Amino acid sequence: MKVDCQWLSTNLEAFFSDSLDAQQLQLASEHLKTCLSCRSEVQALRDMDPLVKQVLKLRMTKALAAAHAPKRSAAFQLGLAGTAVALVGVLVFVVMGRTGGLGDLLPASQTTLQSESRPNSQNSNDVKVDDEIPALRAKPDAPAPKSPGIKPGPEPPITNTSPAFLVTDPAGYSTNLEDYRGRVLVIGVWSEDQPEAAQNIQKLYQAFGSRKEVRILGVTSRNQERPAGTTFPMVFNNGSRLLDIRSSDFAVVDKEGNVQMRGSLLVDPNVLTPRIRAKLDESGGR
Amino acid sequence: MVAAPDPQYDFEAAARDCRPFLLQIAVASARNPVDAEDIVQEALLRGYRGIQRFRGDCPLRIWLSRIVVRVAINHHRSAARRLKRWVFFGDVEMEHEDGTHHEFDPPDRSRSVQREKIMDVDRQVNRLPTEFKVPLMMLAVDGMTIPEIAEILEIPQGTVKSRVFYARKRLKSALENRLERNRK
Repeated sequence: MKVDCQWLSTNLEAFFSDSLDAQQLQLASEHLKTCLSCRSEVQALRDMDPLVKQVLKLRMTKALAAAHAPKRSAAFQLGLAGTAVALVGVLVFVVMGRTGGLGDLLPASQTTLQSESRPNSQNSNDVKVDDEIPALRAKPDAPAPKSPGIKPGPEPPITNTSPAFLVTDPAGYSTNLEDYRGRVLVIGVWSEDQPEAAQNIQKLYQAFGSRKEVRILGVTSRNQERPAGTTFPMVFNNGSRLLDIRSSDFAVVDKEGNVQMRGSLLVDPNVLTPRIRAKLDESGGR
Repeated sequence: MVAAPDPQYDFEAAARDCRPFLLQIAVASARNPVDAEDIVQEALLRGYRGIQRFRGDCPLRIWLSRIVVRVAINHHRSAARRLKRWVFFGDVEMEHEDGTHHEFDPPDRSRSVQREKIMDVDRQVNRLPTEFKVPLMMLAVDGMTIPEIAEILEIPQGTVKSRVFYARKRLKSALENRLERNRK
């Protein structure tokens, strides 16, 4: 084997990685003794190490300086936060100025009350000022138009026109009965003040949760914390009539979406479970 | 939930002992040394939470160093996302500074290398791909050996040597290229 400049250049990685065999290493060392260009190439690579050591030293100085000056960084962050708050404040005032001042910031209900309690006289004054919109002012008794984008405080009441069944899971996905078609559904309704109902739903889930064609749902009126020790699928009512199931009651819905059974959850689970099992078997919920 | 640490480790005392070492590992792995302290802090917190996963098949400082490297790399990624534009301007600025004054020549061990030159090398080191940069920088940590680097990075020793070699080669060529450009 002949070790020359080309061979060494090709095997330089192996030379540095100590993966040359003893004979190759011997020949390479002999070549380096005699060849100035190869020797300086190897030396130049080795000379990177002291440079990198210096870099590490410089970085350590910076790191320690940063570690010992945390107050400055905190003050900087506080300054940034302060600037952000000030900017938001300025922005709010600019927006207020454009939309017509403080009056717009009053709650919608308050402004509505004011306009309703001052009948014709106030509105007739407005007509003189706002001549360009006579159509709206021509009927002073007309109810004030609802301001867009402001939601009424409480949730809409559940009426006969509300959907029969619409629930939302904690991740925000809504489902209705159609989504459970082909499955027998056991819906239990519980609330925070009736932990027993939740525990009984859990018992039903443990008894029937493994059936492929059965779905167990624990429904609450609003999104709330899971009671300790429960694992059943939790959903909350999304403004639906909930099949007229009252709190602490349950219903069994067959694969076509028809309620087959109703009852209270607040009974002995040893009685409840066999009754529901019989209904599930009858409805094909295996 | 924070898992209860194995009682056989006094984690706090162990962490205190290896903190200077971990800071060096963080400085070696992080893009910006200013973040090193935060990285060590975060790594120690993760180490404390996950101490039950420590099987004792390597020294604790090696196990913690692994966490430091992971945190450092992810720290850079998240910082890079946020400050993309800033990094970009930093690069532009680098091309124009220094002028023709700072030439690279093989270091003379008898005299200390100038700080500005080292800062230039620092920038070139930062431009190396992470897998080359980290072993090269780690090798510069006092007392650090190839087997230790291999253990921390969880790669074979041969791979560490090979990566260190390519890192040196790329760094050398980057510094030579800068020298050429400055001469023109």
